Amino acid sequence: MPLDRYRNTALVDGIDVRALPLAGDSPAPASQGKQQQQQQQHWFQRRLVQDTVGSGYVEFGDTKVLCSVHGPMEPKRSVLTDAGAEQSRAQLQVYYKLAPFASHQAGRVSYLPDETERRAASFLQDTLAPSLRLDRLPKSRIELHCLVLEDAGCCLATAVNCACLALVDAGLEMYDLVTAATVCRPVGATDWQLEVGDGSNSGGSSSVTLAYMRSLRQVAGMLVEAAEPLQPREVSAACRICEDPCKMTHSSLRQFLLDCLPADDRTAKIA
Amino acid sequence: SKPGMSQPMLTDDAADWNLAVPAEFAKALLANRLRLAATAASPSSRVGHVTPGCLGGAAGSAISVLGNTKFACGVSASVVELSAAGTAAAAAGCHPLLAAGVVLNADLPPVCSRAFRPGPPSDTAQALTVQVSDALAQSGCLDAAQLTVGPRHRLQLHVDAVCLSADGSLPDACLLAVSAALANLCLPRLVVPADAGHDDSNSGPSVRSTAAADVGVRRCPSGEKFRPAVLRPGSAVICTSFVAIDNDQLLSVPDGREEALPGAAIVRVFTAGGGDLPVCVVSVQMVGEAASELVGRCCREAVERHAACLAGPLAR
Repeated sequence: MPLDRYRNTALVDGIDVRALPLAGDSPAPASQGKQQQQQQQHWFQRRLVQDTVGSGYVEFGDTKVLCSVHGPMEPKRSVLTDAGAEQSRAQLQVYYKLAPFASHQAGRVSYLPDETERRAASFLQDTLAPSLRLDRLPKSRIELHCLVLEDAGCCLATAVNCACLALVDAGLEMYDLVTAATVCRPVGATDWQLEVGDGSNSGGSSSVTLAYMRSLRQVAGMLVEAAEPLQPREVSAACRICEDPCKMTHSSLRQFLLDCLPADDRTAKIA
Repeated sequence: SKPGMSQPMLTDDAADWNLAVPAEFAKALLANRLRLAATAASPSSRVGHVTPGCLGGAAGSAISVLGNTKFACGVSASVVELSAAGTAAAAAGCHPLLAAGVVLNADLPPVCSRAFRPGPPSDTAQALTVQVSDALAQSGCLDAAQLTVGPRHRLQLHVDAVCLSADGSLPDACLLAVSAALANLCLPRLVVPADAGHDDSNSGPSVRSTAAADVGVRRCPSGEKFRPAVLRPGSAVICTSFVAIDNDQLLSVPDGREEALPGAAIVRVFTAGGGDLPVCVVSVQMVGEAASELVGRCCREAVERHAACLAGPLAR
């Protein structure tokens, strides 16, 4: 594991108190086994960060995500990319990080980015780039920074929703709002369940995250994480379950953005 | 200012003037005793606002809001087993806070401002970590004995303060969040079984990694919780920043624009105390030059603000 030389580190490694076994060989208390509850609502907020072009904050249950947008700024030069392609469209760069205290599982999240965070950043970039009018900002670069304050489930989908809110707050042109939802299948189960933000059903054996553009009726991105290969019909079933929550989130986000407009401008509809 | 807007609205002419010559605009405002900082709106805005226990992933957490500057602080706890030799060897030459078992890091991620880039922590972040660590270590408010678990075990706290929005007075908001998070700390009750083994062999390294081994400490099966008073009851460590302009005007809890005014001196006063401990000035840090009577005035106002914080956002 790479050594972090710029921060204070513990003198001795310890065991997180949440990972300690119970005294007296007692079995761990059985999880409450929460039933499939009613659809949780998103809570949106914008303009939380002062020194940025746009920012957004989303809460879904206990999951909390903060995003901010910087740019447009000068593009990064790369000798590997085609100079013409590089200059005709803006570059979108996404950074994704969990706060050290974000995880509900035992153990802190390291300050150094790991494979999970890099994969999430890559998914966000691939999902959001097609929805942006990057051709309207040639020779420039846009940075999107995503910070997860608390991960209680459905973290990646909440990050997509928050990133979309931050991009709209930044005034960047988009083809459509991108909203996402996650379904998971616990170990031993056969049916997909909608992942909620209270930690009750996160960490299953398989999960499918779907990002959807409602007005265009197009899938912006899909991420399948499974311990074993899934059949195409299983993935299709998961996507069908994700579609309705994506549409509901799209409506909520659209209504929130409309409510943020001054009263005189509310007659203009967001596409 | 409208809800959701973080700055008061300027007229078009004022906004153009501010964009073209920000230093002159700021001086003209100050000449008329006006401030644009969000912390100047009311006395309560200069004290700040704290939301404790809002992050479920941490044992103790708090989010502090001071004007447009926001910090989130989370405290995690782990159990370590220290041999006597290891304790002495590891504690020699290290920061007193680390020796007491508190690992503190202040992070300024790119999400909080355009000034910070992804990658290793910036100089500002490292300096902020040192400032906050020194203030806590010198405050006398920390009670390391509360971290003891049995004769051979100890709790180790990881205090992580992450900036959500940076707009000046960073140590002020950071310490506010750290104090509130430490006061909010709530851990499962731990028990040390009587037959917990201890390896008396000194052949191994003096500090031993226990990440994969069983430390012998258990959680209470009833799910009981306890609140270690790591910060002495009723006490806190506070920072109050000031900007002194021409040795005449004093701006308390400045925002980023006021801190960057040319020719201004920044004075940061760290105070500690509360409860049974008297409130006192722990240290004063200055960037630039300021008259001694001005520094004295800063100290007096900082002590008053400390009392206001204890009565307001940090009231327990």
